[in-house]
Amino acid sequence: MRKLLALTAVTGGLSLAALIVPAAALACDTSFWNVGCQYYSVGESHSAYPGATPHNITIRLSAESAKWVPGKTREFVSTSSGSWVQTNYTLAADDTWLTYVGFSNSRGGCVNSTSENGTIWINCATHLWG
Amino acid sequence: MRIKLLLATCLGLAALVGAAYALAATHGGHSRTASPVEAGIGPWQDLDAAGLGARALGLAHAAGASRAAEVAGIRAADGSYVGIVRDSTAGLHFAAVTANSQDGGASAHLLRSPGEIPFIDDSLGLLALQQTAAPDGSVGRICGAGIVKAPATRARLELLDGSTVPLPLVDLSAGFRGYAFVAAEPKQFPKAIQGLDAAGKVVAEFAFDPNDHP
Repeated sequence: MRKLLALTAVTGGLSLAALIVPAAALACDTSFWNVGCQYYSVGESHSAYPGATPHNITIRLSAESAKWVPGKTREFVSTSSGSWVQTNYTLAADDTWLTYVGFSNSRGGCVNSTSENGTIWINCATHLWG
Repeated sequence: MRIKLLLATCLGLAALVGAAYALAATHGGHSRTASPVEAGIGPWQDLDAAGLGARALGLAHAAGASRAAEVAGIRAADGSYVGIVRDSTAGLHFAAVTANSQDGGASAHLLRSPGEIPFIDDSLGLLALQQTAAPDGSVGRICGAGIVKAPATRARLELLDGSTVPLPLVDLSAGFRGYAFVAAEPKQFPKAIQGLDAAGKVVAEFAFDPNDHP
């Protein structure tokens, strides 16, 4: 009986989680979304190092479209040590920004802006291009 | 009689010259006062002939602009550039392109059709809103570009000190108009982009904290 109750609880919990976790999370392929796929609280940011040397990088941010509002999320470029260099407000819930930065080994990332309250799910990626 | 007429003519001419000189001096004084925002967007030019520089031009093409694309933008006093790229070869598409003369940086978003641009309050769209770091890590410059459509027929910035700056518009076709600006004076950074209707009423607003950064 205890095992049955435990199994029911686990199954129920998994079903609930499946309902809560947005579709973007289920589609998270970390070979592309190399910054990660997760909830961002207000002011939270994450970045990744897309590879050595080239100055051309892209940053792609895909957020929950139902919760996305202009000014809530931004993409950014930082130095290898993490100092921010440039940001850009995302133009849509799924947005790609191409940048050339005047230094090598930069990082790209995403941030949930403080201009709006609330957490939001973000898939974020940064890659070299060109 | 002739002498009086000649004297009157000379006095009239002197008055005119004086007035013109005073007017020129007044305008000269204004031009020496640096504006907190540069927003005089220029006319359309061929993208490849607009002198964007190799990096910004390469970015615009990488973002989807064809060789037939055009650009209208602002070359700021510090040499930086922000402009709107327009390409009609595969339907009307827009993107913003920026170039930073100080560090050689440049950027662009992928070209979008008007239907892909989320309009704030149905009349104000963003194509770019960028912050660039100053050497001390604060926000040193903000540049932006975007679109207004009816009911907004005008655009302006609201600055941190409460003043407003009108944004000249360029016709993008199909009822859309574009704006662009560069702001490099932190005490007078913009804190909102507003769309106004013909009566001057604010019908759309994008408010943001200009000094907030990652």
